[in-house]
Amino acid sequence: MKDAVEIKDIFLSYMGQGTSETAGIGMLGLFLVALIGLVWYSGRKKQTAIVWAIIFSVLCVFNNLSMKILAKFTSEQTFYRFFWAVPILFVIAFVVVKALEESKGILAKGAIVVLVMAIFMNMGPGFATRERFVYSGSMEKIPGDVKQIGEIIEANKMSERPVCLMDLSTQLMIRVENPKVVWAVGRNKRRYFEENGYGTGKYKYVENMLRVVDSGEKIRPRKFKRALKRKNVEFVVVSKGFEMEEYMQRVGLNLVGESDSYLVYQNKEIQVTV
Amino acid sequence: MIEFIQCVGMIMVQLAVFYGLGYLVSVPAGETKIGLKNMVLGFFCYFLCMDVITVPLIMLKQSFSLVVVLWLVVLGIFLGLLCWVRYKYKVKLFSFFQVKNGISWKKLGLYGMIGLIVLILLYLVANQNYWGWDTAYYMGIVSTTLDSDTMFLIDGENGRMEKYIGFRYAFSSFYMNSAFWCRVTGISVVFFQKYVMGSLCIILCFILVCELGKQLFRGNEWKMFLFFLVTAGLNLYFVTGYTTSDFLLMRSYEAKAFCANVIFPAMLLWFLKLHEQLDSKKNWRALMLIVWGSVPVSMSAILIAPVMVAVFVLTECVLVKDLKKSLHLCRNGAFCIGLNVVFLLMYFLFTKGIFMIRV
Repeated sequence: MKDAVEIKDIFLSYMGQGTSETAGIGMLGLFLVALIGLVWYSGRKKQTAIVWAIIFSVLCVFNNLSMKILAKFTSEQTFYRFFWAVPILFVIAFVVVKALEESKGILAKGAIVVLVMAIFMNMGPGFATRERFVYSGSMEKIPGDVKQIGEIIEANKMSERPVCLMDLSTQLMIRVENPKVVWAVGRNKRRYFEENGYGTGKYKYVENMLRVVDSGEKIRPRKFKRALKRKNVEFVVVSKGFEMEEYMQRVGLNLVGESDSYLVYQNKEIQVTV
Repeated sequence: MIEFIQCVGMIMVQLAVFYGLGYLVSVPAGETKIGLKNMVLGFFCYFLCMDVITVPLIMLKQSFSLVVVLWLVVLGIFLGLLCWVRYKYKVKLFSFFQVKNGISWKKLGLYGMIGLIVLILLYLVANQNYWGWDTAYYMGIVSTTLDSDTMFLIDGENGRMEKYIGFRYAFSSFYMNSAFWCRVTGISVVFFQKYVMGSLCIILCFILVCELGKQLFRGNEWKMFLFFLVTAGLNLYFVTGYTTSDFLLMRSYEAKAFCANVIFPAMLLWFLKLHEQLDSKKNWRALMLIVWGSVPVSMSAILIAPVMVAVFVLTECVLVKDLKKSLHLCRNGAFCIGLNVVFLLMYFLFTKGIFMIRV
């Protein structure tokens, strides 16, 4: 998150854009309407002074200049959290209940309920989708593959904290199963390649490793081996679907185990750390 | 099934501890009826006390086992104090459940409906399968702490040794609490974080929504119920990145989710209470406890919570139009944000490379 574009992104997100999940009226639009309702129902009373003060203050804070100043105290990437201080949901809910309270007759109340329901429905599919009601089958969120890989690494490791190379989905879960595992490729570098793709000329060693485990590319074995040596990688986990058995032999890695969908190779030519 | 029962049991245990601590801090302060809002205060008191234990030990690079032993002792002391306060003040522990003129079926129905909707939300949240970078990081902090018996010396995300203790997370005892209960009960990290902490976030959030509803509509329970319904609906029907709903439903086990859905609503609730009774010492103390407990719960509140207090105090100063009262308000506000300012200063020095502890 660096400058104006990012703050715009936050507003857009609150307006229901920028995600595939929701694309309806948006919270921000509803909130602006609710603010008019707040003025309408509160009149000149002082009760809502705090809400107004918070809203105006946050809006004063929520600009690029403030972001640059405040980023000295806290990270720019966490700047969107200032927006949480605005009680968006509560203002909307308060105005809806007030509208129901003030309206006279069952027809008027019914119309408000229908309107609110229509707005909810138009906000997008939201969270309570039919798929989410279907029981996923298990409370355990770690796939069996990750458990098996964690056990194979633990049983065969030479280092106390072995550096391991694997695809993203396995990497994100492996340290819960085996906390001794050290990632060969960290978040920032993975994100760099997600955003820029391969072939930028930056982080060549990391790129060579990711080409093999993420895409199943059979790059020149010497290149891959050099990357493994550079990062002191002890274990390489590749999907069985990539059919890399022969390639890994050429690289000089030993197959030490397999899970349902992955093969686990060990690189014995590492600097062992205890 | 055993794990499910363990998780439900742990949710009960944590809520009971929060309730007990809420009783402990509220009764000596003059409360005669203990309710769910006191449980929220107990939640902040719990993490504040835990921070008093963990932060010095983290700075001294002590083992996590020491935290476990000390925290067990502290919990024992709390239990002893609870018995003593109960004996001395004679305020019933569960006065919350007492009904003066028999059971009101209407009331029972409303609270039953709220309970049912929260249960459905808990099911939906438990049933979803979000696992992102931050999930790996936070689960990693807990599992690394348990495995290595160290605190913040190893990067929870990638497993590499840190060069310096990372104060971006080390001032908050949130994940150490998870590690503590995982060690004591043997529940796995994923189960504890995802089901126990995730559920606690949702439960505490909706307790606060109900309390806000009661506060805004002067105790009218039917309007409070409507307020709850609309808030729950908004949360369910609008989930995009950055929003509080996203953190409540997709990432409820993260400290950030507690920041967005528990800390800020709690602050808002006590702002509203104070707005009505500006000279209420009880409410100022409660606000101070929330703000002091905000960093121990989530580092995200380190700057935003003091800013919110400052905005509240300045607004009230403008409204009271009295210099003496305004100075009094400013003094109270300064007390409330004192601890956050200390944390902020330390964190600022850390980011500038002045205050760093080499691993």
